[in-house]
Order: sequence, then structure tokens, then C-alpha cells
Amino acid sequence: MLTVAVQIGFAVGALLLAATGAADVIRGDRLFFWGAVVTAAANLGFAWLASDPVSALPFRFMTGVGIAGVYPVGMKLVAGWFRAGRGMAIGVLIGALTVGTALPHLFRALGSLTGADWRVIVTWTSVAAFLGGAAVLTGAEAGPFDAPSPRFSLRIAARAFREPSVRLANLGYLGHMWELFAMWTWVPLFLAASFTASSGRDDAGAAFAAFVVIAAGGIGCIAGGALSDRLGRTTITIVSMAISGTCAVLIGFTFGGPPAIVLALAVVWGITVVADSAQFSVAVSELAPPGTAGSALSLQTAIGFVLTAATIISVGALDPGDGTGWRIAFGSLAIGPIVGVAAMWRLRGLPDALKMASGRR
Amino acid sequence: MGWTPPAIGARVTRTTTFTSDDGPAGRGPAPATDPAGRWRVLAVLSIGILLAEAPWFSSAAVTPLLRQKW
Repeated sequence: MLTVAVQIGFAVGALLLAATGAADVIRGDRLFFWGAVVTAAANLGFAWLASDPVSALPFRFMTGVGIAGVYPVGMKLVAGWFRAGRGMAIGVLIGALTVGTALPHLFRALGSLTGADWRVIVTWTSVAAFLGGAAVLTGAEAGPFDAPSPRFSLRIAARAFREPSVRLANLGYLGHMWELFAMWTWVPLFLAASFTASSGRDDAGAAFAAFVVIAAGGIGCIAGGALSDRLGRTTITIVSMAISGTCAVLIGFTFGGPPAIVLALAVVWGITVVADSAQFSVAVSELAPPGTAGSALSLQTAIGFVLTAATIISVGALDPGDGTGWRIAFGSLAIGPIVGVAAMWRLRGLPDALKMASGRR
Repeated sequence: MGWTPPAIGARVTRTTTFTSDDGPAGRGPAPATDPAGRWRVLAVLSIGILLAEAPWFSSAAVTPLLRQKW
């Protein structure tokens, strides 16, 4: 539930930013910094003021709200500097985001080795967030391509979604999101339980493995971004989701097996589960009628993050504890990629698909 | 777009003509190619996002410890 609160907070924060147009009123580097400060402060509140899961929820929600001032604003800032290489630049940024989401597992591994309390480990992540905000405040500024974002409007978003190609790209995105955040949330617990079952408890090793698995997605993001411009968006999304969905089905069968095999499959899953992440948003921006992409993307993001809350909860509700439990829990995540592949396959067959990646579908 | 690529074989100079639709209103014309300094900004933003996203899964990372405490 604590990660779910972050997801909901992010969706609310992103919609608020889009509806108020704050990103056009406040300088990007300042908004990023204050977003990072809110993130860091709320996270500190979770560490030092919360005394149980219920009292932690508001702090986690506000962490999500703060992140909404960081990640989308960072995307806007980088888009102001890149035009020809924008796909690659966005891929690098999502890769950095992916490594960032893995960072607390590295801190947890270090904490296990040094015997640090959980509050100290969480505090380290707040310090990192503050330093990240300060780095952008002092080292980044709006670029020459920076342009005002259109305000969010449900009516404009609905106009975009009347296009079958936009609906299919959005369905592909939802299939991707169905799997992504639930995987990121639960795979560390799976690895810890599997390693314990096979070779005894090793908290530091399991946490470091979780860091490696999730951070490996950073490589996938950069490769996915570079390849999609050459091979086409539907090609990359279909291949990525087919591999990640297969990993979701298979990984439960490795529970309690040799750690090297579990880790190898988990790394492949970690790379492919996020490699296509940027392509759905880029596809919507290419397919939406002129003037509607901003609102369509805001709505897509909000629905996507609410969906992640549902799948994170559903995996937890299955309460996986043994191999059978994990097979069912992670197997259920394959529903997303199956739906996503079908949607992107249909999109590939539409004439509109030629609007993407200079006609490379 | 207001920029037209030079004909094949034409001498390419660093002088380029921009029209009003090249850049955002009120900011003057935007350059036709990605500007110098973009890699520095991308590096700073990447480091910034990498660090600033750390709290996203902080609770998930300490879940095993929280289960013992809470």
C-alpha cells in the first residue's frame, strides 16, 4: 500500500501540474528543485514521523506528488534542448529514472552490510533526492526549443482518443504499465524469498540483486529508444512486451532454484519490462491530432499510474509465499503484455501507423 | 519548418536563415540543429533524475525491515 500511495500521488500531481500550467509559469529548473525538495521532505516524514502503515500513507502520497514535479518537468527540460535526437535523449532520461528507482535497493544492500536502521536507509534516499534537485537547479536551464505546454483539457483528450490509432497506442501503454510497476515493487521480495529458499537468508545479496535487476532496465531504455527510431515503435514494443511477458510467466518456475539462473532471467525481465516505456508516449504524440497530444498524454499517464496501483495491490492480494504463489502472481502480470502486444499489432496494421518514426511503424 | 536544407553540392556555411515559426513566441528563433551544451544539460538532468527518483521505491526497499518493526 505504501508504494500504491506514491503512484496515486504521482497521478494526482501530474494532472494538477497539467491542469494549472505550472510548468509554464515556474522556471523548469526551479520546479524540478522544489519537486525534489517536496519528495525528499515527504520521504523524511515517512522515515521519522510515521509509526505504522496508516500514518505513513500521507507521506508516501506526498512523495508521489513531489515526483510529479521532477520526472515530467525533467522530460520537458530535455525536450527544450533536443529536436533531432529527442527520442534518444528521452530514452537516456528514462534510463536514469529506472536506475534511480533501483537506488534504494542499493542503499538497502549497503545498510544490511553496515547494520543501518531502515529509517537511516530511507534518509539516504531523501539526501539523494535533495542533491538531485540541487544539481538541476545549478546546472540545467531551459533550452532554445522550450515551448509552453498546452493546458490539460478532458475535452481535448477525448478528441484525441476518438482516433482508433491513439486508443490502440494507449491500450499498449496500459498493458505495459500493468506489468512494469508491479514487477518493480515485487521482484525484490521474490528474489529475497527465492534466495532464502535455495541457499539461506542473505539480505544484502538479495537487495543488491534487486538493484541490478531493476537498474539493468536503464540499458534497455537507451537501447529501446535508439532502436525504435530505426526499426519502428510497434516492432520494439511488441518484441519487448513479448519477452517481458514470457519472463513474467517463467520466473515463478525458477523460485528456489540456483540463484544465478533466477538472477539471469530476472535481469532479462528487468531490461525488457521497461525498454519500450518511452515509445508509447512518443507514439501518442505522433498519432494524436494536432493540438491534442499534451492532454492525451496527461490523461494516459494518470490512467496508467492508477492502473499500476491496482496491479501492485492485486499481486499483494495473491500473497505469494512459495513457488506456486509466485507463479500465479507474476503470471497474472503477463496479461498486460498480452493485451499490449495485441493492441500494438492491430495498430501496426492501420494506415495511421505510418505517422510514427518517419513511417517505420 | 522555416529552414530548407541546401541543395546537394551547395557549399554549406554556418550562416542559416530562420523564420518566425522556428522558435517559441517571444524567445526568438530556435537553431536548426540541436544546440551546443545539450549534452551537458542531458548529463545534469540524468544525474538529477537518477538521484531525485530514489525515494520512489524507498518503502519497497525496506519492506522486509518494516514487517519486523510494524
